[in-house]
Amino acid sequence: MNTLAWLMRREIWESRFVYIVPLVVAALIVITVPLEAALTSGLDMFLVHLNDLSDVERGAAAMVFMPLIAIPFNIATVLVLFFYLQDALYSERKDRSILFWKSLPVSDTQTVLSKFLVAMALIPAVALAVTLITALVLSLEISVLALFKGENPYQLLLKPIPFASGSLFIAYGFFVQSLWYAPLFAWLLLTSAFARRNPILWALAPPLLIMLLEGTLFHSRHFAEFLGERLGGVFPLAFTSEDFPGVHENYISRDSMVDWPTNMMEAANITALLGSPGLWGGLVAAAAFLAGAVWLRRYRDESL
Amino acid sequence: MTAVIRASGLAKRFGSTHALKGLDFTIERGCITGLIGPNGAGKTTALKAILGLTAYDGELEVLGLDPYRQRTELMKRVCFIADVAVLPRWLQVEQALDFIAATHPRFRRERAVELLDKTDVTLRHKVKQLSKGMVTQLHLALVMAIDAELLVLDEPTLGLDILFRKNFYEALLGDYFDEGKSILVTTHQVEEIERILTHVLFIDDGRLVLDESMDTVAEKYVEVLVNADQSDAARAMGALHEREVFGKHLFLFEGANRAELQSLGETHTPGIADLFVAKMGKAA
Repeated sequence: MNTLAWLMRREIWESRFVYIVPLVVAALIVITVPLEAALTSGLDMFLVHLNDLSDVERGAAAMVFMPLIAIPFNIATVLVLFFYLQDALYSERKDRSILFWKSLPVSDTQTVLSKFLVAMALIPAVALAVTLITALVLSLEISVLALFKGENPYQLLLKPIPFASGSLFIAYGFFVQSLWYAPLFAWLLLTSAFARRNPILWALAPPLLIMLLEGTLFHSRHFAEFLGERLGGVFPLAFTSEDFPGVHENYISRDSMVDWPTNMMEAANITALLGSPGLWGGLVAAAAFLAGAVWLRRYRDESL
Repeated sequence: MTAVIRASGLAKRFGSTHALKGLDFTIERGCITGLIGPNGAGKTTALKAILGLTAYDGELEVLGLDPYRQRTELMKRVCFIADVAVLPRWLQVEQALDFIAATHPRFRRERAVELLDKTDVTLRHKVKQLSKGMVTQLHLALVMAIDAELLVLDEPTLGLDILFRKNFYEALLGDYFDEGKSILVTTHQVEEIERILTHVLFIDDGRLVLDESMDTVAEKYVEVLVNADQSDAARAMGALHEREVFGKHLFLFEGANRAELQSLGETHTPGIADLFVAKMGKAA
């Protein structure tokens, strides 16, 4: 393994919550969902509905299964990322262990980059893996319950759920979200490297201050809108419901579902994403913030 | 001998405070040099400059490298313990070994394990489970397993009890030091390290007050214990420092005639701490 891989490994040793949190979410889902379904009338109603659908309709309806499971993991991941990043270049200065790390022949660029890559790739990859395993386990659990009810779980569940394209769909979702949030990740690293205390305050105060100033001086809210668009996420841009008639309305009719493609990746709008100046502008900003974080770790003398 | 550290006009300013006011010195390979001075004298600032942790004015070369610009390269050849207990609390001993083995080309894992076997630190321990003394033993074992050309120690035994301090320096001398290596150390407990030093640098208020080898110190400086009735004669010879001990007068001379002094009383080589006090008194 090269230095960067070892640095990333070190991050996981230090911040074990980055995999513990998704595992806890997974445990909650695979324990409570089947229990809830079995103890209430939920399972019976669910099976009645599934039986009521044709094969094609069932295939379309089952597409919602994996993204639905991904939602709690995505929320948990965003929180994990926030807490990981705001602390990433702060705690080593707070406990002075930076003096130990700096005694090793590892450059500051490599160190900062490793933390950025943990946020960009490793944490989403862990979340993705746990999401997929949870989807598999949960579908098997419900299949067993269906079996006890005298139903055919293969026909009702396992066959219609698009595991392959659903996995790609979620992987794509996690990955493009990282790319979109890259400037926010890098900003958190920058403020984490900058703050003498309270890095969360340093991360949040500048944007809030800009909003406040803009509102008071110009009675406008361009920055708030700009930031809201970034925080709102990439999914409206990266996904399209064009080929899935009815999705953009609140009511999905059974007639429209029949026309849906079977491959969930048809919903990925990669060209729109890659053509978006917001994505590239964000990556440029991320590079600038990262350079700032490297500079601070490398050259700032805090009279340690 | 070749120079490990070469400083000329080394200076550092924090705003209007001059922490270092132009130091000139050379440290040769194979030396154990003590950097000694009162608090706020600039010891830590000097060490930080040498380790590339702070910017400075003047010229400084460590192992032929510019420590500030070529820091990562320098850290392959220089090791340091900057303070006691800076190992992160979450780190497991085995993880520390794995990580350093992967990132440091001169680290020998087996050597570190061998050194740790002599202590109560096990591979399973986390740093937070260790006492302060054990953390220092761990850090020293990690550092001693690195074949560095220069080892820098800044108050490495601060706050440890006497047994740990004694073992620390014994291990350093017995299991680590050889002619190819150099050690630069600062400490308040001068008495404990003066036997192992080959050179001393005294620093006060950002200036170098003394830069000698221990051999020269023994040649140049003499302490004489003089009876009260002869103290005027001794004073007339121009002592560097004088103090009273059990009714007798202890004079410290620089470059005086030894035979002449012996006629006044019992002579011996002064301890570093006493020499330090004498030199500081003169500087003030």
